Formats: sequence, C-alpha cells, structure tokens
Amino acid sequence: MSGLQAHVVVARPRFRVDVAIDAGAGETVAVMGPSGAGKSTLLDALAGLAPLNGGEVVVAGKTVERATAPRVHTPPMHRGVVLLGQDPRLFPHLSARENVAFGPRAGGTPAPQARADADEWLDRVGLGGLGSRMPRELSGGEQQRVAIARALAASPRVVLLDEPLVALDPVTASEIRGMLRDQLAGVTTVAVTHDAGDAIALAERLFVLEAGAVVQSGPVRRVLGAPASAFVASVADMNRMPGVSARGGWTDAAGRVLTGAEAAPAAREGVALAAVFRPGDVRIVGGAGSNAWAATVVRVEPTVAGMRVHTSAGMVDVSDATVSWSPGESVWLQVDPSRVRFVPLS
Amino acid sequence: MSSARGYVPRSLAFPALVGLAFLILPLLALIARVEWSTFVVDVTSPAALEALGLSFGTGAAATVACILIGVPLALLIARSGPRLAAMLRAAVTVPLVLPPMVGGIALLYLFGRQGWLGGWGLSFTTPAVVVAQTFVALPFLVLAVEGAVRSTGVDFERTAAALGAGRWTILRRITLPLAAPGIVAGVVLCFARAIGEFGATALFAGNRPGVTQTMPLAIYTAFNGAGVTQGTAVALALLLLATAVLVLMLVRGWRPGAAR
Repeated sequence: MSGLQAHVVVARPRFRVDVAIDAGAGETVAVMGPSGAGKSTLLDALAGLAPLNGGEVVVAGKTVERATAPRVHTPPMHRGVVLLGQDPRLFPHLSARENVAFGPRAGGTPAPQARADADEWLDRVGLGGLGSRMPRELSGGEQQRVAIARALAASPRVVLLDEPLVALDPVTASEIRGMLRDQLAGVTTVAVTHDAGDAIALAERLFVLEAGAVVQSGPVRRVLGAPASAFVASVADMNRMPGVSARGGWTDAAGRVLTGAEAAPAAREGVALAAVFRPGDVRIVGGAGSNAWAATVVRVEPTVAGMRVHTSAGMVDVSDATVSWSPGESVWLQVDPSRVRFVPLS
Repeated sequence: MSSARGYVPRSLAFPALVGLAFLILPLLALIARVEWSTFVVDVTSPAALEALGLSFGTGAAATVACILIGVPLALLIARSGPRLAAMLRAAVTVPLVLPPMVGGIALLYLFGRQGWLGGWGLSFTTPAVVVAQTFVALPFLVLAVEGAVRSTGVDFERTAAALGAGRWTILRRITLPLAAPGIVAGVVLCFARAIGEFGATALFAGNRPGVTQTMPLAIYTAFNGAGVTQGTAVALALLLLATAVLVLMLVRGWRPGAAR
C-alpha cells in the first residue's frame, strides 16, 4: 500500500470529526466542505499537529499515527507531510533560494548542492533568477511560487494544500493553478478548497465533508454533477430540490412534478430523490405547463452574463438584461426534462 | 506611505522635549565639571584602568552568562501555556523591581560564609562581581528575548518541522534568527545594566581595588574621598559613559538580517 490512507477521529466538546479519506500514490484528492466541517482539523491531524482520539494515518505504507494500542505518533519532522496554506509563510530572514534549500539541507544535503537544486526548483516554478530576493521583495504570487518550490524540494511523501490560491488575484491564481497541476503530477496530494474549479483542475477524486463526516465522495465531476447535499449543489452551482419518486418522475411536498431524461428514476414510488439542474437551463415562462412550477422572486443579482434570479424554488440565470424582476414578484419557472437529473437522497 | 508621521497630537512635542532635556542636561552638567588639565592623568592612572578593565571583563562575562542561561529561560517562558508563563515571568521580574542592595544581601545569604552554598567561597571575589551583575541583568535579557520569541509565534517552526528539520536545526536556523532583534536589544540592556551595577556588587563582592572594584564602585570611592575637587570621580564617570556608549553603538550597528 502506498499513498495515503487516513481515518481521523477527533472529538472535542460539541464538535466531532470522524473522516476516512485515501489517496493513491501520486493521486490528488480534493476535500470540500462548509466552514466548520472539520477540514482544518483533518489537515492538522494528517500533518501531525493535532492528536487523534481514534483512527490512524498511514503514509506510504507506514503508520505514522494511531490512536489505539500500540499507539504511534510520528512527529511532523519525520512524517514527510508538507502543508501549503493560504499564507506562503516563507522564512522572512532567508532568501528565496535559502527558503527552498531549507528542507534538503535539514535532510542532510550539503549546502552548495541544496542551493543549486533550489535554483532549479525556482526555475521550474517560473522564478528563475530570483533566488537572491528576500520574501518581502516578492509579490504575493511569487511568494506562493517559492512556497510551492520549497514544499516540493523537501521531497514530501504527501502534500497538503489548504486554499493556497485564495489570496491571489484571478490571473495569478490561474497561472499558479496550472503550474501547481504540472508540479503535483506524481505527488500524493490532499487539496482543501472552496472552489469547484480548483477541485476539477487539480484533483481526480473529491471528498465532501459536512459536520465532521464524509457525506459524498468519488470522481470530482461525478460528485459535482450529482450533488447529494445542498452544500455540494451550491458549490457546483446547481439547483437541487429534495422530493420523492412518483409516476416515473419526481414530486415534492409543494406538489411540484418534474420528469427527467431517465424513464424511471427509481425502481418504486416514494424513494427520496433530489431533482438537480443548472440555473442556466431554467426559463421564466408565462404560465403553467409541463415541468413548470410557480415561485416567488427573492432577490436579483447582476452577473457578468446578465442576472441571476433567486426564487423561493430555485435559481434562474437570465441573459436578457432588458427584462427585470423585483423581489416579491410571482413567476413561473420551467426546465426541459432532458436537463433534469435525479439524485438519491441519503 | 512616504511619511511615517501619523497623527500624533502636535502639542505632545512639548513634554517630549522636556523628557529629552531631562535625560541630556545632567550629562552635560557632568561634562562641564570635567577638569581637563588633570583628565588624562586621572583616566590613565593604573587604578582607573584597572577598574575599567575589571568592569568590562566582568560585564562581558555576566552578559555571556546571561545569554547562556537567559535565552533558554526566555524560550521556556515563551512556549509555556499562558498561566505558567505568567508565573515564570513574575518570578523573573522580581529581581528587576528589587533594590539591587537587597539582591546583594540575598546573594550573600546564599553564597556567603554562612550561606547555603558558602562552601563555594564565592563572596568578595571577582566571580562574585559577575554573579551579582548576572543576577541584576538577567531579567532584562529574558524579558526582551521572551517578547520577541513569543510575538514570532510557532507557525514558522511548524513549517520548518514539516520540511523535515529537527528541533536543534529549527532553533538555530529559524527561532533564534527570527528573534535576533529582541536578542540584540536584550544583550544591549543586559550589558548596560551589568556595567552600571553598584548595589549588589558592593554588598556581595565588596570594594577591593583590582579584585572587585568596578567602575561604579571606583567612582563612588573617588567621589566620597575626594574632598573639594572630585576631579577623579568626574573623569572616571565620563570614561565609563564614553566607553559604554561606544560599546552600545557597536552592538546596535550589528543587526543580523535586520528582519523588518
């Protein structure tokens, strides 16, 4: 067994995390979840900064942490797990080169060799020739590049990413995302993010954490395309309406009836299902019809492409900016059956 | 951000100038009393040079001792929980608020002939001067270094550990360099306090010329025994002042990394 296998149980008053995640050797998995879901606790536990109340962490086939007898606790300096956070946390008194050379030198590489390797790493992250700069002389994006080079130069067994791009402007973030994707190829990585785009760009599989537990996991696009919770739906930017299967379609407590592309979403009636569809596939129509329902406008938000109308029953993307809706207005919404998917509710 | 002036009330300049004058005028008054005709003879007399050498020798030894035991103590306090840290900090502060005389008496009861550690035969020797200076100067170093280490936090140390660095490597390459400004400030304060130390030295080490008579004691002796002129005392005082300022400027000038 290689890569990372972790079952992390951390119990605190009024807060419990019980999460099992795994990443194959060289695989990148993403972890998403609302604030307070236990993402930071998970990362701290993997890095060896937070004690476990139960479970174990196995890195590259070696148990580095086990809460039950025989107990194991490998201190952070010996487990080969490096965290890249939102703050690059470069050592302010060391040049970019010395920052990158820090890990190899601590591991016993002679200083001249480590410095030469550091210059190569800086080249690879797009900072060739800037090795002598001090961290305070670098921009935020450059600092994050140095941090990435420093993390990878230490030849970690596992890299943990904690929203490393969130403090950067979109252009810089996009450039670094591409560089990160190239450099992380072949490195076992756990990436915590709030951004579905990051998850799709960097990771093969996605774990969704809510209230200290994994609620959904699988290939990133499959999870985002079949959101099992309101959180995943909002991350994937999808409408998600809970209901039950009925008459070859779907219905909910408010009496709305929808049919989808699949002939029979469930084997029998009354199975809990969520109807899932994109706000861009919803149209505002004149009145009742098939796959249509009534709703009340809650708020209207201008977007780059037009506007998004939030209603009491789903979001609608409208590209025609000449028509406007105001909160409180009653509207009819309609979605094409081919655009609707039904996802089992757990 | 071209100006660092901010928005401090302008009228505060008045008490500020009073404070500055209060610090500088006495020194000017001292310099005004120097009898330049005998100055060179006074400061180059064997007794004066002996006292000066003893002061700097013991002051340097006390500073080294303070670094060797004070920096570890500062690290211990900085990395303790809030309650333990508050208790330790209070314990370190006590010698600071204690009159140095009382410290001298306390040292005498520990190391004197009848004291718990009287067998060491320490009192009224040159090492006793170093002990007295270390006792009064240590809190300055500990508090300065502790503040610097605490404000740096543990995040950089954690990052270094994740990159595979052991505890000694982290201390040598991360913790101490980041605390360097605090360490320099602490060493300056510590040395200045050791050089100026009088009360504890007088009671614990005595006033033996060439053995325990440091500059402050020599100045006191000269001042008391001089009768009308006091020229020797003034000359010695000026010599101590000048050399102390020189040493402090040298230490201040050496600022590793000058982190922020």
